[in-house]
Amino acid sequence: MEGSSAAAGPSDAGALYNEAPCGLLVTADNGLIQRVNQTFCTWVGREPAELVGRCKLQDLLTMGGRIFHQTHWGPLMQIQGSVSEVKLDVVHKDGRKLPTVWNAVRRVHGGSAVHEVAVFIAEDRGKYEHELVLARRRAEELLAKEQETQQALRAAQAERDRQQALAEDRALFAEQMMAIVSHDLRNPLSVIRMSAHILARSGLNPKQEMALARLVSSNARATRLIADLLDFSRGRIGTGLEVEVADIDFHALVDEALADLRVAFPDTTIEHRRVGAGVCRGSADRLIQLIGNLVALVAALVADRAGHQFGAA
Amino acid sequence: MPSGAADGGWRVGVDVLKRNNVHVSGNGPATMVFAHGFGCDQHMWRLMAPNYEDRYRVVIYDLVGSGLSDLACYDKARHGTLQGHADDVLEIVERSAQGPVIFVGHSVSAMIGMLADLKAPGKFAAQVMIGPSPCYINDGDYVGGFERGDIDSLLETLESNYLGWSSSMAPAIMGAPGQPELSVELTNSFCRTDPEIAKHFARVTFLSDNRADLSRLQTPTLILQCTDDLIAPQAVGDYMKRTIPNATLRLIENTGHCPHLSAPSASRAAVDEFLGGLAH
Repeated sequence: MEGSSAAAGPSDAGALYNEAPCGLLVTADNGLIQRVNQTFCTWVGREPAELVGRCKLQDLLTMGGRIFHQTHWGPLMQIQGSVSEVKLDVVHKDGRKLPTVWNAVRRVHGGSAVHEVAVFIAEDRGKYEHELVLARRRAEELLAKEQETQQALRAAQAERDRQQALAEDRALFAEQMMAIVSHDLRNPLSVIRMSAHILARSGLNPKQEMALARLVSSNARATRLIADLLDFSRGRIGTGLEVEVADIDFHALVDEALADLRVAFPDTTIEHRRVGAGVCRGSADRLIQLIGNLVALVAALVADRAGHQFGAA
Repeated sequence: MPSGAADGGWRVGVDVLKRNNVHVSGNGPATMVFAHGFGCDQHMWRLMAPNYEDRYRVVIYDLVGSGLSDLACYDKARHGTLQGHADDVLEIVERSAQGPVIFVGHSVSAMIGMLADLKAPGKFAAQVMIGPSPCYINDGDYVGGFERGDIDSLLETLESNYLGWSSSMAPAIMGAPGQPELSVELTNSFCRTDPEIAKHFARVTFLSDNRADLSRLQTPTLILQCTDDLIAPQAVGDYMKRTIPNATLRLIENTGHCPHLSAPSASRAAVDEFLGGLAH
């Protein structure tokens, strides 16, 4: 700037233009530089002669800046007649990028338009913006990660809900099965039992008696199997065994159970030793079931080891 | 009211005319639809569109994400390709056009118009493409004018320029010399842009490649090419002329990407000549 031709005092307009603390340019409508001050020339490392009449303003920008100049700056100057605070990087002769802020006004002088342009260095603003951009990028990355995690969580929850719905479906199905078993199968079995009773009173020959006995015992076994199946299903569903507790005479109950079992295991001697009062609270069905299972188990063992005695208390 | 032409079920209940800030004017047996390019909005057509109002029904609109369009309708999936904008065009045409439709698309909207045409063959009587480019990035022998890094450089520039979004571009600051007719409404919306949408739209625009579609376009097409246009160099105009079956190429002596603003009379003359030729 010491090369300034303005020799007059500090108020001289020429010196002010040339040495202003900002870059000042005048360009044609197409961007061709018509005038440029020394400040700007110093900033970009070029002589005025390299720029005036030879270089367009946009040629001094980065490629991104040049696209922006054509897609935004140009139309704005045509329609609005001005732009302000446009942030563009100017490329120094040595290739360095110089962050700058631009203001420009379009004026029509005697039929032809010129653009009057002021440029300010914005190094610090550039650095600050760069930091902001980096910080935002980091924040966006964190947000993306967070959203990814949330999505994975939602997917896992959806899978859990799906599995739960499947389990509920299975449970519902099993319950329906149980209803079928308990009502729809038990009913015909009780009809068979009742009919067998009626037949027993109608004077059968020995062959028919034997057949009827098989009918009755098969019916009893089918009824027992259904009861076991119900218990098993309840166990699988997790509702637990059904137990109806009532006041019972335990000794009478055991007598009743053993009477049946003696018929079922005619080769085994079953002895009932009563101890204590016998009156208690419990489930008659479950106790009969328990005794039946124990006796069946013991009977099988006895068959293997003839003569042995087993006790149950 | 007919249902939307393409993918009409998208965002049920959205009024297409509001969504795209559609303005209809003029009278005529045919309709001209003007679509602005990347960076600005429908006000780009102020030196062009009004001249056709005495002969044509004139439709101007803002691309979703630009100008005074409904920004809530900007859908990064739908508008993640130019086809989404093309589907918008078909909905706008369905709602607002009458008679044969002439689509005038600037820059990226030229390709949007072509994609709409290809999706609804016969819907358009003519395509006018101002400064079009089917692919901005150089690829082998193909000269698009840019390298991938240039687009990143543009995204950086966009990142530090919020433009009208923060209202810093309002000309009141600069005194708007010689432009007394400008309305406040215009100055506040022109080039207004949501920074996030601007970046996304810049990517969609400058990374698009529609070269393979050009040869399928059967509609009579005018390519208006500026002699000195950074965004669409002459080589691109030549390539398009060679590839589109029914294309006319007209050069306009002009520096920049917007001849309809900086050389409006030459642009109008070229369009008039083309439209006159269609009639015969």
